[in-house]
Amino acid sequence: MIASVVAAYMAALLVIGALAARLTRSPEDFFLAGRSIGSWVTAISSTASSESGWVVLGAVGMTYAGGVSALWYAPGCLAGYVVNLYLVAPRLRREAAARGSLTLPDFLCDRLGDPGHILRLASVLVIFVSLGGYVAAQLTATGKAMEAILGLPYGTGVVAGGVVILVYTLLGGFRAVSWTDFVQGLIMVFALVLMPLLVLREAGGYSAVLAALSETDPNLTLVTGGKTGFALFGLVTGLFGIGLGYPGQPHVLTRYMAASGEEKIRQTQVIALVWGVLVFYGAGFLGLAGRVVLPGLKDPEQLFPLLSRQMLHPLLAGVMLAAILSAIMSTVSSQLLVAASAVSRDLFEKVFGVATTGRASLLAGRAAVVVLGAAAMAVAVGEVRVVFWFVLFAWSGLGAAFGPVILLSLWTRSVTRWGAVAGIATGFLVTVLWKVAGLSDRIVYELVPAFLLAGLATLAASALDRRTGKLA
Amino acid sequence: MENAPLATHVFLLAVPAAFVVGALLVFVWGKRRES
Repeated sequence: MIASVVAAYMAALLVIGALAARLTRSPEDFFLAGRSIGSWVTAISSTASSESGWVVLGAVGMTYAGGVSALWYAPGCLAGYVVNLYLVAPRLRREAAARGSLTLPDFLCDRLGDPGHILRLASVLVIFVSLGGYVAAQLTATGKAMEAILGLPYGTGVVAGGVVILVYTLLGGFRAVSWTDFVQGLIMVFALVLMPLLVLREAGGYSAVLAALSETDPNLTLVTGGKTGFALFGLVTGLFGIGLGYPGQPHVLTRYMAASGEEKIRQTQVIALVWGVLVFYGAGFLGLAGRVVLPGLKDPEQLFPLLSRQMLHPLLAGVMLAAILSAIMSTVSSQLLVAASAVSRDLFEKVFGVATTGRASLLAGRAAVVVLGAAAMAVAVGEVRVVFWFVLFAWSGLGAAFGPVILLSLWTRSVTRWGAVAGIATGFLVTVLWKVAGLSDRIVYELVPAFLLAGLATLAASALDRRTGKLA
Repeated sequence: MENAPLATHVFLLAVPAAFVVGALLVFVWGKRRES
């Protein structure tokens, strides 16, 4: 029964891809769905693509293990949503449409000017390094989820999930990715509302859960987790700081660029925030109540699939497990398309000047999806460990490299091309160095200092650039 | 509700509610300003 539900889910994704393919005729269709995406799809596809398997497995496991204080990620991520939806989305959509920008590097170069392609190359490098490894890691997660859910051999699971993603992304481009993300986002929110409610009822309700947790360990019910001083600062900044990553994720920002109008963005803001509240707090309450219902788990990240199998009819359990695959696959397809657009649109078309006609550009985009998708599958099947090293700082690297530059470019006139290059380089390098030096565990999550320093570097280099004429 | 400090209840119930109510208020305000 569970296998049938998952098979039906996969088939539905392929049908959506085929339908979207019929509307995909130009590069603008392939990379941005002809800027025709409505508010519901913009809202839910942008949020679903930003939340990977982390929210259904990692966040649930974190609150299971850490109690109430682990939920600091929720207001942090929602604050990131607020910044994206209110400060970035309206202006980015308007400016990208006015300038005809199709990708995030396109937008930065169109706005700041980039005659030597330095800004575009820096952007493409960061996107490619961060997202390339990320896609491979998410495909690994797909294989492991298929193994756990259906009992498929790991390699078969990677290829089965990878081929489905590849086919619908290849056929329908941005439109297929957005539509499938929309469906996947609905499955995720359904699962993360229903499951916590059922588990809370099983545990005796909200008050009973807090009472039981307090009996186990009073610190589990405190927002501080019983920590004080620098330890508390590290906990709160670390979890809250995750939200700083949102304004720099290219696969999320392109959704706003594809919205069909200003009014759609206003509706998107409400829908996306409600989705975020339901999903983040749903995952949190599931972790808290799950600890009462199923205590002593060795791997708390398995709470969601375990409870689904134990408590639900196989049909519903299949839907819940499809929600796990949805969370992973919605992120993979979005990142794959952005990585492919960085190669075909930004590198080949804009820097090398090849495949510039509409038909050739469309073909190059599809070829890049196939090549990158196949390479990511090969890396995932072979479990090439070095690639997964990049994933450790993919979220924070992208967030620190692009977040401050995007925000400052949209809200001030002070940013210059060299300022943006300095910001992107500083954000990415500080993230990597901070992480490698082990400061993330000892002091604070790398995104916090990297984001601040990237903002300062952008402003300082821009000021210097304006004063001296040209930095180069 | 005495099973946890007030801050916990605010953190778990009032904070998410504030995000939703805030989003709705901004939406309504935007609509009014437009018309």
